[in-house]
Amino acid sequence: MLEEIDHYSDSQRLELQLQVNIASEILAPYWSIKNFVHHNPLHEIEYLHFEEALTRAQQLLGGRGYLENETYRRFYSQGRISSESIDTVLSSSSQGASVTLGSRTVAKFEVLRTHLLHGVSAPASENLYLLIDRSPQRENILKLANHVNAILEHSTAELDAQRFVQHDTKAITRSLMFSQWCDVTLGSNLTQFINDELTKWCAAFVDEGQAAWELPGREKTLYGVWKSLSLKAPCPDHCENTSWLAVLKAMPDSPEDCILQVINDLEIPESHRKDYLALHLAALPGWTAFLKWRAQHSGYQWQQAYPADLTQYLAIRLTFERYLVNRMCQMRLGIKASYRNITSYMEDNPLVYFMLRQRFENKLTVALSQKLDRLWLRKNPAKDLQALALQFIKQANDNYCDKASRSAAWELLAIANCLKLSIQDLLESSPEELRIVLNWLKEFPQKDHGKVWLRAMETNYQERLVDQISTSIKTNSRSRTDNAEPHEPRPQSQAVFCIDVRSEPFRRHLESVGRNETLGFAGFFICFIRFQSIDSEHETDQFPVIMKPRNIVREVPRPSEHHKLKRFRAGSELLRSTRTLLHNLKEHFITPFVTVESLGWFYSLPFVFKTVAALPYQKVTNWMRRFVKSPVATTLTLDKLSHAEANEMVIGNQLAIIRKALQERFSLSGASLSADLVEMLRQVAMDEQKSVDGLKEKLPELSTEEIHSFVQDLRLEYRIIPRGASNHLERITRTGFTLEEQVFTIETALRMMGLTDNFARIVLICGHGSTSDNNPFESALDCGACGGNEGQANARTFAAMANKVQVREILSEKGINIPADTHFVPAQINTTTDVVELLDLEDAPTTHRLDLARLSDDLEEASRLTSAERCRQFPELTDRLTPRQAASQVLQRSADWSQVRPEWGLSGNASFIIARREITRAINLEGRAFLHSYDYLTDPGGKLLEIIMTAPQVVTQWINMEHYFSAVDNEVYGSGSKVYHNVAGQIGVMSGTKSDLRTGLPWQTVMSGNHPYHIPLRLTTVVEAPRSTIDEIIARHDLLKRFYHNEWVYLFAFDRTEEQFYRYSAAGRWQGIPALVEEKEIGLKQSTSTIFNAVS
Amino acid sequence: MVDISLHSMKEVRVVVSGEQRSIVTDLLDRIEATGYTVIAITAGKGHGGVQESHFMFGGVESLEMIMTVVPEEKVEPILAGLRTLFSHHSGVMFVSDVAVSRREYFGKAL
Repeated sequence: MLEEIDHYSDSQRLELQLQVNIASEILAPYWSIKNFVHHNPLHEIEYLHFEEALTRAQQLLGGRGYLENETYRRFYSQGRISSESIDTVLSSSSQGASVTLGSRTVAKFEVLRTHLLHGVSAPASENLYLLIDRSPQRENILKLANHVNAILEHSTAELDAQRFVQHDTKAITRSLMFSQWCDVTLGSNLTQFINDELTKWCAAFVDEGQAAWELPGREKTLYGVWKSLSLKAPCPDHCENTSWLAVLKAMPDSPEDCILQVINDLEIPESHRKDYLALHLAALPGWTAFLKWRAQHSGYQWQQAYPADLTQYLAIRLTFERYLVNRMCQMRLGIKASYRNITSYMEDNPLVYFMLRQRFENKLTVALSQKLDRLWLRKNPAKDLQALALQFIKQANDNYCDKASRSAAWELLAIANCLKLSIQDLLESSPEELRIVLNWLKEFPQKDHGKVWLRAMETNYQERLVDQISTSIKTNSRSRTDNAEPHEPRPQSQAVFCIDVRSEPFRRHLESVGRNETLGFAGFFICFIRFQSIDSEHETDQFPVIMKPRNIVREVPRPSEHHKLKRFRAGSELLRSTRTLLHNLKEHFITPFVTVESLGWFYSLPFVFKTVAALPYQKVTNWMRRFVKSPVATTLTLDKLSHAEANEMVIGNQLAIIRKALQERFSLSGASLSADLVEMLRQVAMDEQKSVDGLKEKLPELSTEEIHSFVQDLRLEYRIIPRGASNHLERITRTGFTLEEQVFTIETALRMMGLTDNFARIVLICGHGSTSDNNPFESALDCGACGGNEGQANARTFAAMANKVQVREILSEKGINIPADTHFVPAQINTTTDVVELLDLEDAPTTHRLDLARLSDDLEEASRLTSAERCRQFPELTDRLTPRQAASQVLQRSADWSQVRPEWGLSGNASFIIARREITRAINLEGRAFLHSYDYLTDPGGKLLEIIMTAPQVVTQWINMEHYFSAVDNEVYGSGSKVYHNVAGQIGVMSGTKSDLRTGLPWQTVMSGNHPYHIPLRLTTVVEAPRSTIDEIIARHDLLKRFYHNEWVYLFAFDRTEEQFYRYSAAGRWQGIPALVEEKEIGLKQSTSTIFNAVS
Repeated sequence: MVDISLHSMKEVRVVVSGEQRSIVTDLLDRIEATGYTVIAITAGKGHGGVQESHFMFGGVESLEMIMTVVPEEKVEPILAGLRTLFSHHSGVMFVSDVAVSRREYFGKAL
């Protein structure tokens, strides 16, 4: 097994590298959980049609693409899916075919419908005979079986064996890894073992400071550290010591070479290579997704220090596979493991292979299973397998003779029962006709039902949505003609909320309690800012992750508060060092023993209080925190720094660096660190020509060489050189916005929203955030448009820009006149507690005192009403709460560290409506719609619609798909129950102590008990704009063609002048939807309310 | 007068969707190209039709051109890798002759 180290060319290595990259398309894009981003797990295979992508994902990841049929049937019985929708979807595939059974004509359509609704499938062959024997219909089934026997194809065990071999020889290396093949054929447990090993190494490697004892030597890269440490580690379970060590020692230094060797050795055909690599990547899709992210972000500090990527991962994995599979094949079958050998073995020994597979599926008799298991323990089992196989075939063939006819009889009888046919009708029909029916059933197997159910459910939702909007428009237009006003009155306030679905209920309530208008806009308010808050060391990127930062904004104390800054900083520092100290005490080798005795009682306080009195505890700790770190009123650095200021900052920064370096190197401090000395050092470092003589006087205790080497270090390591200074200057000049940028931002946003005139006195710009305790997924509840952070920084930036006089002057030249008495107020809504906090009130003019008071009252009332509505959806709250009770309930939930579901978040999302608020006002969209305000009359040419469709729509599609997949198969695409989650390495969660990294949403977010709370539907986008404009936009963007033609997203258009809806088909054509007739209105209102009652 | 001599090198230009940028830059890092430049593209046309990308809101759909200058011997491995890339994703690549004065800076041994 020792290989010569082949030398592979750079070309071969790079080719492999790219193949690995392409194979990784099945992996979901994954960001560290600190910035949870909702993403489509199948994002990189969106170039395939939705159904094709699901098939491919099933092949590689093993994930289900649809809910189980039983779930859909339950939805049907609850009224969530109407009969009409099912009929619409099925009618296209039945095309009017029919048969005559006895005295009746039965349409293909009816048969398919019955199969869909009732699941008419014969039970598995092991149970078939027993079930028939015990069934009350036994006689009828046997009679029917006789009747159809002649026309059915009968199989034998030999034929089945051939089918198995044919299927598996095609599947191996394409949908079946060698280790999996060994597991299902030879009864080994290799795949689980390999997964466990890789989990162990990946978890240890990617740790970002959580581990008390870190993996040493990580700078050798993942592959390097694995190779070197494995040589010293005890031999893993399934491996044999000497041969394993020999393999490790012979491994090449380059992971690409290692993979190429394995591929050569296992003789994997070139055409299968991509699938083979994809299979191995998809075995642990969580860890590989994170490694892929790290490889793509080489600037990430942890990646720079400890590089890892998918090629290295595969090198480790494939080494294990080759070694273990080889060992297993030699031991049990006497062959060397390779593609050719294994496929030849299957083809040459079909009966043996069939028997082995049946053993794995527990379909052999007990006696035979025992014989087989004992055979494996012998020295040379291969030669005795053939004899055993012949025994097995003889036994198996006994079962085959009646199987086909009895299954067929079972199915026909089930259909007959549902369609109210009698057994006589079936016995009187010709076998030919019955065979046609059986073929219809065979062509529509249960695994294909999900497609139909999904479409029916989506059709149902879309019909209701269109009806709701049409009704609302008709009512509005009628009331407008009834009481026509000369001009639109000025609203009391306007409020701009994020398009997030959680805004919808709040906006509805806010509009109902006062003359408040609301609008929807992407929550980052098109400020692509990198934000540095006053009490954080890190900057946050406050925009969708798919974009890049454009401006840096810092939070600084207001001029009046500058004196408080020192105390604030000191308090922050105190809290930070206390936290670090406590953490170190817990994590150090020895101190825990002492810490428990001395401080243990102190830790019991939070433990007890957070459990019995969470809210009061939170209030007390918040008060204490404010006492230590007294808050400072802040404002944002919006404008660009002047050149002089920027220069000063650069110099100041250099001085600080030099000061720190002196402290670290020579332990200078206090008086010896004079400002002159530092400045002199700076000048010497910056100018190569200057001599160090002046420094010798200031630093008498140092020799000339030491001073020289220090200055060199300043230049090389600390970059105190002209080039370094100009780089820094460039970075600083990115802080802030130029006036043009500010005008551009405000103008674009206002035009996109359609808010270009009739401004209210107060315009609220409301970002959103959330509060929860003990929740690794808390970032998922924050604003996705702001990169998984809170939205207040963006709201404040936008409002500050919109309030600037210079900006308004230029805007009015461009046609947008913001009246002088309009004031923009930033705010943030907490989606867990529904509380709206108004920000930067120091900037509000005193003339607006009363307006703000009135708005605050409205906001408070709206928030209580929203809490009451939301509380009706928490399954554990069975009583109806008053608004006041609801408000305290949601507050309680946000502080409760045992609450696995502080809020439902974005669950339930189903549509994205790009239109004026007018057409959706007063409709209860149940918090399931993303709403973006848009008026095509303010957007000639459709440029702004283009932006909305290609940017926010991507975000909403990602959210929609994330929830879809986590709901249909939470085990594969979601992250399982929160109860078992363990935070791993600070970057994600595992289930239990050792598992794949879990990506996707937890069970409690999308499920209620055992049933889905989030109804998985594909996103339906509704656009209020001319169809021609939409067509032009789609033609210019591959992204949109993929969405609509590959059916990842549905598209509807609403024509304002015709008051007519159109649906965009996957072929790219518009189909008009019949207009709502007047008389149906009343009936519709009734049926809509029935559905609401069924849902709640 | 200062003597400026020019040395011939090869320039490789690759046009791909922004999502594949990291694949290309990763490849260049592996082959130890000394550097590269990325230019944002606002529109283009290819076998798949016209494609536009907003300068600010490009996001997922941005189009980019990555340019690098390398010594001749590095071109073949780059092409081998890019060939695999283009078997699966759309984009183009072209190689041209170019001359630079600081050849050590671009990785050519003296």
